[in-house]
Amino acid sequence: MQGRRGILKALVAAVAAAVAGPFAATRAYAADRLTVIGHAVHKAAATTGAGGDVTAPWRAKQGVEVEWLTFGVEAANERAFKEASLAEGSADIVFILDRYTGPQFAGLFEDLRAWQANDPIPDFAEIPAGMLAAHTFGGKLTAIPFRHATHGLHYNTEFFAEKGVTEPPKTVVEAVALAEKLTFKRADGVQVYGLVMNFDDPATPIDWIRAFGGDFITADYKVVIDQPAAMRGVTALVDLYKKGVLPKNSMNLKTEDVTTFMQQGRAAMTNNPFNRYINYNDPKASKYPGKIAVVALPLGVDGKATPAKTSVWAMAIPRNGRNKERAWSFVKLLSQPDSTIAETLNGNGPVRPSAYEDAKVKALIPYAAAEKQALASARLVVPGFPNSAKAMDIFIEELGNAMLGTKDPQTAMSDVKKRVQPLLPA
Amino acid sequence: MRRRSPSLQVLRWALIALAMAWSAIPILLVVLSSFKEASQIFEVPFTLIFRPTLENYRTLWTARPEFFRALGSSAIVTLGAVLTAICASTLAGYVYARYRNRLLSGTAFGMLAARMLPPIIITVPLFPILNVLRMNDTHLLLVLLYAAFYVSLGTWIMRSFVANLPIELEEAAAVDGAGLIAILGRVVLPLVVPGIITVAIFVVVFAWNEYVFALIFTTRDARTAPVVIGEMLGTVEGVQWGVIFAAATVQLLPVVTLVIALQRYLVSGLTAGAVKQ
Amino acid sequence: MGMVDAARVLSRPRAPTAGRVKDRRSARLVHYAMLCPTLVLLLAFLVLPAIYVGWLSFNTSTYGQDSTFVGLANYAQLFADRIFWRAFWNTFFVVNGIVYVELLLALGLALLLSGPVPGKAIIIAVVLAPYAITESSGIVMWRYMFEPDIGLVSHILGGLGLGQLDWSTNPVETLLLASTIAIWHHLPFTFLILYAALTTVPRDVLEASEIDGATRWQQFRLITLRLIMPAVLIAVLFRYIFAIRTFAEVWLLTEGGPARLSEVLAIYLYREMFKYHQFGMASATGCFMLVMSLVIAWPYLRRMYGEVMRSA
Repeated sequence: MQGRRGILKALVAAVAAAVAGPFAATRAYAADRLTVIGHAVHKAAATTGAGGDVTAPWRAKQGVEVEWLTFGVEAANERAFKEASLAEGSADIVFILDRYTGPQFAGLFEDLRAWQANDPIPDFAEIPAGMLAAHTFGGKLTAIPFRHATHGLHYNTEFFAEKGVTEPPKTVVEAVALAEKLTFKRADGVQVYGLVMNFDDPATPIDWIRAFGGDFITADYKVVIDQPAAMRGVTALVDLYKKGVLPKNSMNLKTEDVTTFMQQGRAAMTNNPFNRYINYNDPKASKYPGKIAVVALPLGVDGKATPAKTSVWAMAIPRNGRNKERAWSFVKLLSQPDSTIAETLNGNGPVRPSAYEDAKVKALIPYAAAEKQALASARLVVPGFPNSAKAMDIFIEELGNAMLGTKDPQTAMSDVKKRVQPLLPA
Repeated sequence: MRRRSPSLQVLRWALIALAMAWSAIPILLVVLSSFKEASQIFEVPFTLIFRPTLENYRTLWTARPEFFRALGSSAIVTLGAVLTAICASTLAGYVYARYRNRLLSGTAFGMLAARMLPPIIITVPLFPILNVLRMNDTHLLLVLLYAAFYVSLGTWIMRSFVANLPIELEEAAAVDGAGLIAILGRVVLPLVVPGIITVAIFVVVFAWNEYVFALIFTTRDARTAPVVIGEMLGTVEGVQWGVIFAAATVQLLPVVTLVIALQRYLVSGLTAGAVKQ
Repeated sequence: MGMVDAARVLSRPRAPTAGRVKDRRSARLVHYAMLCPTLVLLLAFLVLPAIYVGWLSFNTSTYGQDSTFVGLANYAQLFADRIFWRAFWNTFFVVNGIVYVELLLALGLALLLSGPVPGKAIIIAVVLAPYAITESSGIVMWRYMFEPDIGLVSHILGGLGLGQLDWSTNPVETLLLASTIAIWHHLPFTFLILYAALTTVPRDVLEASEIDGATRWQQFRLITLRLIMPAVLIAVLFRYIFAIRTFAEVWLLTEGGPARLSEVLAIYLYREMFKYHQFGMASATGCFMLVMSLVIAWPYLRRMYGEVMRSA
């Protein structure tokens, strides 16, 4: 018993030291560091890969270290807002995704128009207006776009060949018909679904609704989901579900599940971000490496390009940051045309369309041309407004009702309008 | 000793086997999957026979080295939380077992009510306050927080264990001249070991796997293993389940080992006939 | 030996002097000091923030804005929300299902394993393992096993002609699966409390009663159960407390869908807090869950109070 007591005492002492040590030297603000809160992809885009470390020369010149604090997607945004809300924050730059921000948070960040006017990012006009609009509220530019993820149509070329289809669908009507054709049982008895979609993100169904000429909420905040054009899209989806072209458990599929479906060859097509191409064709994880191609979404019923959903990660400077000049300098660095190309080579989705023209990029990314084409007509899921998250949840909920059959599609979408209308800005 | 009929014995073992299978199968799947290649993990149909690979562990080691550092943080936090919770709970449990008045009953039940608010919502006021106190991203904070979460349960468990001890033992020691500390340390403590082990296991498992508070209150210095696993789940480029299951397996091992080691202390120190009538 | 003698033995609820309160002396200052670590921890990290949360429930609050007092508006909005009530009833049934099923299973298991059993260390380690594994990994595996058509269990069920568990579209079956996973995950918790309590049942009392002719069932009901009742009450009470917060099991299966039909209160709170960033509404939901816990646990709290107050 005595020996154990001795060990116990030693343990307590060790833990106390370990615990007290860090506490004594806690996160005092370090003047020699630039602290960035974001996702691992941002750090990777800026520092590792074929494009090299974009930040190296800047760091040498400024004589500061860059501290990247990375989190999961939702966690990164949460932490960004939390830090920005403090009286005194310790983050110089935060990366924000458009679906998490809104006009109600504009006050937390610097208005970057002033900074841009003073010390401009070169070739700023190249950045698509839509992307800037995603982070502009009441005229105030809260963040500079850094990365986009735009939807394309991925399809399994092997399944296509099996069914005698040589080309991806050109129009949405073709796509729907093709999806039905490509729902079959494989030789080993596994069911293949013509189309698979994740419903944790309203963007995936809204792509199709837009292809039919409809929309959920227009840019001037009108709910049009119950209008005939949108209803065509909704009923098409509900139909596909009823016919078993969409998997039965579609309503709770997340992006990773769709990835698994495509990798395991359980689905023929999906609309998901272009860069999923890498996952779907990953020889280690996929049973169909090199067989899954991606093109821009099929043309809409009006013959024009379907506005693919895009999401935009952007860099914001919290108002409570302590070294905003240095922060802006870093933002400028990452946004320069040559940096953008390097970041693209590192796996980023560039916000500058010209990056797709670079020879190295074209060599590295097979779908560069298609992504550039899609980018030209891409659109946000919903325009930014305070209750947008709630509105999106309501849409998914009622779409679920329509698909399950508990409500007929028109009633469901009319209910969406009724419930979302009061949430829109006056 | 009543003879146990053989058929009852067989039934007993069958039920135990069932309980073990029920507990173990999903976990075995996780562990097995950590040795599978990525394309085989969720494949259709599920296969038990496959060629095992250490690829996932290698990736974990090379691509996610922060996981192992995070395990160290988890260890510090868990150890600290267990020691704090046990000390606090045993002291309080003793008082609640041996003394009784309105104030004591009030606080004892207040302790239970305090636990009924879903913890996640208290992060709203805690985050800014702890930031001002410079306690964000420290091990100490997690130690105190986790201990605070389990002192209620710990106190009530220790209370019931102490209450089951005959008071004669303490009275005899007091007559022999032992002070409070000696009574606690030499008489009470050895006899409530199963209670302490029980509380220890709860706190260890909780602190070792706790995610939400570690996520919100740590950034880099005190980041624990579950947070790293969580970040691997929240990736943009596609979740690597093989690596995650490898991490989950690595995380599981210390706890299972600990439980096996502690299991034999779960027997009562109070042997039959310790107190002669 | 007849029924009269057995009754005499069986009527002794516990060893004669265990648990008697020292009523000759009352608590001294040093005893209150011994309470301090526990009470300070609770006060600082749970009680004071909880009071703030209570106040916040009467406000509107989000990032970067000062809270605005709105009185009972949050609660009004809460009670007018059809989805909230669905979450409430889902939670109510899930919680009660979990607590009682788990109690019975854990008690059975603890009884099975009490007494000498070869290989007990390994058995107990295996039984405790579900509690020890990271929640998300365990749930993902369950999800995979029950994946429609291709999952291991789905395959077996289909092969046996029992049909599929339609958990992805039928909220009742979703909650059934979620409850099963929750029980799988937390059974070790209840088991451990009951098992440890069973070890304190003195052998001599049981043996004496056996000599007096008591049957196994009488032994259990009149001696064992009474002796471990405080532990049972603690286990049930805390299981209630933890069960009302059930989140991950449902979230990782369906995120409360489809159409928010399988949503539980913890998910409702999560949405308000992390998706809509409405901290006032989230606080109101949290306070409601606190009151709900108190109401549900009230009978057990009263029973525990009786146990605590009763001296041997």
